Amino acid sequence: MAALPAVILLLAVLLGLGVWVGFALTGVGVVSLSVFRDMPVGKFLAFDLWTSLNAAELAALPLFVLMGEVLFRTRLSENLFNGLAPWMGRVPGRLLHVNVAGCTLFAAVSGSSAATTATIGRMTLAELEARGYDRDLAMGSLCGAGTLGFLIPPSIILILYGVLAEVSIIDLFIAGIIPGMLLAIAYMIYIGVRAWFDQRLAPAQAGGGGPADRLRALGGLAPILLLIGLVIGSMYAGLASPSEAAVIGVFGALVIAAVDRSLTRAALVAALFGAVRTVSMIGLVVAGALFLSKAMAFLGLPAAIAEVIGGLGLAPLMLILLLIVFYVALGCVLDGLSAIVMTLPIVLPLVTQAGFDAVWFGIFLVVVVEMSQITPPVGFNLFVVQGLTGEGIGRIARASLPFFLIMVGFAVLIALVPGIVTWLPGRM
Amino acid sequence: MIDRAIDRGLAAVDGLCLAAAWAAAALLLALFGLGLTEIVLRGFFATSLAIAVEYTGYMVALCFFLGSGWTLRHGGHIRVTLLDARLGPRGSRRLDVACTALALGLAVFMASALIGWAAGSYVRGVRSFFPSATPLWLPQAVFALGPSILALALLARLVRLVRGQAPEAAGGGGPG
Repeated sequence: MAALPAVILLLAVLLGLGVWVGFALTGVGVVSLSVFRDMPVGKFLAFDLWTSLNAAELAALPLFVLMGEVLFRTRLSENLFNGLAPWMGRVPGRLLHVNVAGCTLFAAVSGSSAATTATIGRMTLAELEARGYDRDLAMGSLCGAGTLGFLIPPSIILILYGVLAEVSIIDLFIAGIIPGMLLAIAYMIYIGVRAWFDQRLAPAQAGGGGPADRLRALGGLAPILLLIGLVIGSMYAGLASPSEAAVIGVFGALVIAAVDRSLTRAALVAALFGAVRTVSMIGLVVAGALFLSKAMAFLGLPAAIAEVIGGLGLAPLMLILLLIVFYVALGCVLDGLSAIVMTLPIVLPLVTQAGFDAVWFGIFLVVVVEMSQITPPVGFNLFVVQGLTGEGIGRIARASLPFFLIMVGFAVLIALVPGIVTWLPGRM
Repeated sequence: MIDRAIDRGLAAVDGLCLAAAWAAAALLLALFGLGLTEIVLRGFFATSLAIAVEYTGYMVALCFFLGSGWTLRHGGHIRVTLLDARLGPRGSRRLDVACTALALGLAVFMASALIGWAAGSYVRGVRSFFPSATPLWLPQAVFALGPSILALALLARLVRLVRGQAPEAAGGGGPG
């Protein structure tokens, strides 16, 4: 297949030069169709853009983005910190666990990792610093736990994966719950072990943490727990589609904002424009990726690659290991969302052919590209933490390395024990 | 004289991008409003709006692209900046000019293809297969606005780069 190296080379050059990802993808699609196929490319592009974005099931995506933007501007992160802190006083690692638990809870109302990291970190990093906690462990655990935003439902990446792979979005959401919680527990164990051996990492503090404090703290957590129950519960119970759950979520977020008096006109406008920015960014990348994938299908590239890989005679697990290496490398220069949407048309047939379940692969893929959020030089969580702390990317990336390694281990684990992912959706 | 005309042109493009972003924001709210109405109608009155699914689709398509020009102006679109960081200020500006010109070409191609597509629907009188039988050229024409405004924003960006102005607006978030 002569077209394949040309397509990959052109894409690498355009991306490397710094052409916007969405335009690089569209450009490669346009060029390869004009060179290798004689067809009215413009008409095909227009048809493709219109039919793939004019999709009611995609409504969940902008709405979940809006929900996160509204919640970001409420006092939710303060309430989370104050609600979780009294419970962590005696655990080795103490308030460092607030990073992990806070991100886990916020991930259950947010569809994005960068939003989760920013919302939780804005509160925890300053508090941990003031109380003399180890800076590296504070930043690393935030970067690591922030990536749960994509794994724990709702998740923007899983919505896109569901649409691209034609898999039930609800199944994907449900499948992400157990892996997300296990990953959070793994982070907490690591923090606990580190703090157990070195008490200076998490200094003891006076006061707080009695039973009365804990009960009062629980009151502060009530709104978010209720919102999680409404959004995820309604989908799990089969009462709501992802889009309806997102509408309920926006409504709940607005109620929370109204109750804590942060629902000003200015805040609402800022939330709307924040959402417009994220949705536009995703729109351009997704439009380009969808078009390129159709163009590649026209050229028969996915089949050609499947043949090449099939000819290697790899064992299924070797294929998975190879994919981990591939996505980690890709993730160093690309964000997770772009990496998934641009490779999926080629990788998904390979993986399903090797006997893996499409829902399982969606979760596996999210875990793998989550790593790209914390690998330098391009890692969105690193950028967020850089914005919050002013530290260099190098130091933040080093601080995140243990959490990166935990993710690698976890990706291998779900490859060995796929039931971790498939058990819960199978019970519905 | 010419300088001032260009300044006015750039300001006009900025204004257009901002207006389209407001439209995208309004669409987001409308998407929420329509969804909420549907939930209430279905849950409490066992009925449903005939247009809900169809118009949700249109609004989703529109809100993906209407804010694109404004997002570009505020540096919100994803690109790989590895090479850029290694070049000096002059080299990096030249590279940016090349990338912006290339993207401009593609955006013009995209916009003209979509305008042609909407015009074709108009000429052939294509209507949606939903009960509303909406003439499809209407939503398609509005959809074509997004990439068209993005193309204008890229042109403005190119002009700013060539004139040695900062291509992105200071501050990143608000509607300003």
